[in-house]
Amino acid sequence: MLAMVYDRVAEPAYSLAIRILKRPESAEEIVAAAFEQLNDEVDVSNADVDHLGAIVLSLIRQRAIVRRNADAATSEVDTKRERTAVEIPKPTSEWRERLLSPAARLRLQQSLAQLASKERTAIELVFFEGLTQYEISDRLTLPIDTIRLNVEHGLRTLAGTALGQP
Amino acid sequence: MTEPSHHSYDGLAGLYAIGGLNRIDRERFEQHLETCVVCVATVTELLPVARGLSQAAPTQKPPASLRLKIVGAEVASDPRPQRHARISSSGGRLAPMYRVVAVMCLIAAAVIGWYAAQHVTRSRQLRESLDASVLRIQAADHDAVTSRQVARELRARADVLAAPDVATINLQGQEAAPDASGRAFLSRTRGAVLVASNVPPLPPGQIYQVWFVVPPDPIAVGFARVDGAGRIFSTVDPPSDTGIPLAIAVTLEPEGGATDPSDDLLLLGRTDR
Repeated sequence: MLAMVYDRVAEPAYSLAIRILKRPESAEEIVAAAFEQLNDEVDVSNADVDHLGAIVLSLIRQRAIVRRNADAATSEVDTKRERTAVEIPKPTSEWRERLLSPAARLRLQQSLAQLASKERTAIELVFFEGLTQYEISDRLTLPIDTIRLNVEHGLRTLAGTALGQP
Repeated sequence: MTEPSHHSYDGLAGLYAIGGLNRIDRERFEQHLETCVVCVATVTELLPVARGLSQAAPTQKPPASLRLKIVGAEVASDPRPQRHARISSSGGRLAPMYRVVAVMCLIAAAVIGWYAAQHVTRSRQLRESLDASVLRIQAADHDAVTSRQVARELRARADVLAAPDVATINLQGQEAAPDASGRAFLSRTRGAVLVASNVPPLPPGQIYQVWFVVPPDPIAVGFARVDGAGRIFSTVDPPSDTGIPLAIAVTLEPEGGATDPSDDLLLLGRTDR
C-alpha cells in the first residue's frame, strides 16, 4: 500500500518540498520523514490511496515550513521537534480528500503562474513560506488591506480558471 | 445576517483558507464567521483552491533513490507488464543499489544522531524560533480533513441562513441557564441553525439536546455543541415532515441523548405558530 501511495503522490510531494525548502537533500529528507510518520501512525493497509496522499502532502507542507524557519534562524535541525510540530489529520468515516488529476494539477500550476504578480507573490508567501499577513506586509511594504485583497482575488481567479468554479 | 462590521474582515477569508492568519486573527475571524453569511460563502468557495495549492508547486521529478528509500523493494502500483518484466529481470542488477541504499540509511541514521546530539546544545534562539514556527503551523492548521469538515458544516449553516423561507425564533434562557440567550433560524426545507451565548459548560457525561415541541410529544432533533466561551452554533436536521414547531427547546440530557426531555431546560423559544 505504501508503494501505491508513493507512486500516486511522489511527484507533487517532492515538488512541494523542493518549492518550500529549495534544497533537494532537505526535500528528500522531509518527504521520507512524512512517509515514515504516515507508516508509523496510520493504518495504511486498507485506506484510500488519495486520502493517504493528501495526508502526506499536509505533513510535508507543515514539516517543510518548520524546517525552513529553523534553517532561517540557524543551520541546526531538530527532526524530533519537527515531528511533534505536525499533526496527522484525523479522518472521519465520511471524509475522503481527492488528489488532483495530472491534468488538473497542470492546469492549476499554469493558472498560478499566470496570476498577476502581486497576487501570486502574496499567495506563495503564505502557502509556501508560511508568512502571516503582517510579515508579508513588512516584506513587500504594502498595506495589509492590499495583501488581503490580493490573496483573496488571486484565489478566486484560481478557483475560476483552474478548478472550474463560477 | 451579515453583521455591520463586516468591512473590517474584508479579504480575510482568503488568508484564512490558506492558513495566513495568526492565532489571534484566526480566532477573531472564526467568531465573525458565525454571523457572516458572506464570509462563510467565500471560505467555502476558496477551500478547494487552498487544497489544490499543495499540488501546485512547479513539477520536480523525485530521484529514483527516494522511492527505494521509502518503499524499499515493493513493486510499482501500476503493474503494467513491461514494468513487471523490467523489475523482475533487473533484480540482480539492483543488488548493488540496495547496498548503496543501506549505506545511505546508515549515513542518515548517523546524521539524525548528530541532530539529536545538537539538540542538547540547541540555542535559545533556535528554540524560540521553532516555538514560533510550531505556533504558526498550529495556527495555520492547514489540515485538509478539518478544513473539509468545517466547509461542510459552514455550507450547511449557510444553506439554512440563506433559505428563502427561513424564520427567526428568539430563545430565552430558562432556570438552568438564566443568562443564556439565543436564536434559532428555521427553514422548513433546509433544517435549522441554533446560535446561543452565555451557555453554562457541559457537566461531564451530559449533552445539550435540541427539541421541537410539536403535538403530541416533543421530538428530539439533534444536539448542540457548546464551546469554551459558552457559545452554541449548531445545525440540526429535523425530520422533513416535522413542520414548524410550537416551540424550540434545549435541555441538558445524559450523553447519548434522551427520548423525552428532562426538566433541565436551558433555552426555550416559541414560534408564532
